[in-house]
Amino acid sequence: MFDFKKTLSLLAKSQSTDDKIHHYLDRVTKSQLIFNTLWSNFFQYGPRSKQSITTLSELLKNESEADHLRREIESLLFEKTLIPDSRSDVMELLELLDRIANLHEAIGIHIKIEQPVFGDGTEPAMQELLKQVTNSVDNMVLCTRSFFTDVERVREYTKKTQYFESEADKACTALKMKIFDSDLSLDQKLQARYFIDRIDEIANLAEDTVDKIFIYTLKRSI
Amino acid sequence: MELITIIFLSSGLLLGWSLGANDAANVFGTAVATKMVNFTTAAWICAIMVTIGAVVSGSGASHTLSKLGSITALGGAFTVALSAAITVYWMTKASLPVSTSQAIVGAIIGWNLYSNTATDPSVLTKIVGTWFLCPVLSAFIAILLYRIVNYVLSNVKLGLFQLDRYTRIGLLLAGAFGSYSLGANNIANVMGVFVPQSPFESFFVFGYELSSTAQLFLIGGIAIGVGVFTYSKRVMLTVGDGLIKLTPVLAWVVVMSHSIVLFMFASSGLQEALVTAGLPTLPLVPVSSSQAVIGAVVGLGLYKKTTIRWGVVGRIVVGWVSTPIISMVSCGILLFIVKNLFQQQVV
Repeated sequence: MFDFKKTLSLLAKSQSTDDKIHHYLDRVTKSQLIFNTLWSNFFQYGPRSKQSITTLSELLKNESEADHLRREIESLLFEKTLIPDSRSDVMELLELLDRIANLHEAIGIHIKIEQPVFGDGTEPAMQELLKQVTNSVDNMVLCTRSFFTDVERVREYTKKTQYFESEADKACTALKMKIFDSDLSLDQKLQARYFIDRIDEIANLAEDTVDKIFIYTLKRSI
Repeated sequence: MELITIIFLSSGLLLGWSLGANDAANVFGTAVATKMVNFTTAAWICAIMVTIGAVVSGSGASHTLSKLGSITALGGAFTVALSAAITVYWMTKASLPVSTSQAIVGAIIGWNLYSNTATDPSVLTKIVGTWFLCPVLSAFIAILLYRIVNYVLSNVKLGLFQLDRYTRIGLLLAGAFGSYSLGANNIANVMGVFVPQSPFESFFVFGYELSSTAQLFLIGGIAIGVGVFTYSKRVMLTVGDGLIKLTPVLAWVVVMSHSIVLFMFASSGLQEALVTAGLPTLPLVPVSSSQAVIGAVVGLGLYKKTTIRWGVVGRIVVGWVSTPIISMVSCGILLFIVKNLFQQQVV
């Protein structure tokens, strides 16, 4: 009669949505880690090796579960009218995070399809690029968590992400120079550049995401 | 009870209905419009708490109103309440901001003029003084609360969803307190003029005496509750287009400031406590719920240096000045009609 049940359920949903967002962020972190493993397997066993195929399946499964979780969060936000003031910001943020997981997936599939060649001695430079990209994604995830839990730390993680993104750019340039100085054919060089640019794009997306979070945080002041 | 008595009380009930329809938005408007609180929950809390406030604490402000003009005939009380109700209806229809408190005071002065009863200037000064004091006090309380909330939120690290939960609970509690204060302060506008002519007899319920005044306030509170359920939703949903854009946390600050001010002008318990502590007291006078809200919003706007739609404030001031005058004139005309056309005793 009083609809208090509805109100209490709303408060409970608010808690579960909070938990789901953190689970979603775990998926984004996991996606980056699987992506790194995929590249290790690529260099160690080859693009269509059993290990690479298994890792790719794991990456696709993780992406699909993340998508499912994202849709659940989005419908909860709308159906239960949670955080009315920040809802559109959170929706946009989830879409940005989704683009990172999608990019991992797209690169992973193209490794299998195109079987790119990077030439000998390029693995350490690739690992350096992946390390800087992973740092960017990790700090972006921490920045996102801070947006939901402790906004005071958003600035710190924004700065860190921006720093690692520029480090990723440097690693990207170094790797491309190595590739173009090598004896690979032009088509192999261009194909390798395609993959390197896509990997660097992950760090760019991480930077775009923290820039947005920084603005959302300013909007959240009462 | 005779049918004529019920007819006479109907104007007060109409005024109560219109108060519930319009002023519930001051308490739960932003919370419902932003979907932080659902309408049914808000309406139940508002209706129950308004009635409790009216019955428990409604006598203080009503007593001051009766000092302004003690209406000696039930027909007169009916006409006074009816003119206030018509003024509120007409001004609402004309999209002018209106205060039930000012409408009833204007109507009582109209009755005083019609019946050649002297209006006590000290009581009138006290009442008009509170009309100025109410929004100013509300503005200062809002700024103080805003600073406290800002300090607390900066030091207690609340997550986005945690803040959402606490804001919802805060809006429900502030709404309950606001509804109680609204009932306590504004029931005088609805039923105050009927108190000297109350048709009810006192009786005991579970050892508690329900006086004739309390019974009047109870049915007045129920009329307000009916107004909340039947019409306030559409008012609540248009309230968002006000003076400045309010976040849910700011809405809480505004509702709390409004509620504290209405409580201060209604609570005889608080007045006694202030007297005991040797502190200055505030008169127990029905004040405008809308003006308390506007005072809080403008205060916050000025403090935060937000753009305020001064045109809207200007319209509010025009409504503020014109309401008692229109109500006073219409009361004079209606008293003449009721006495001469319907042959009813109004004085």
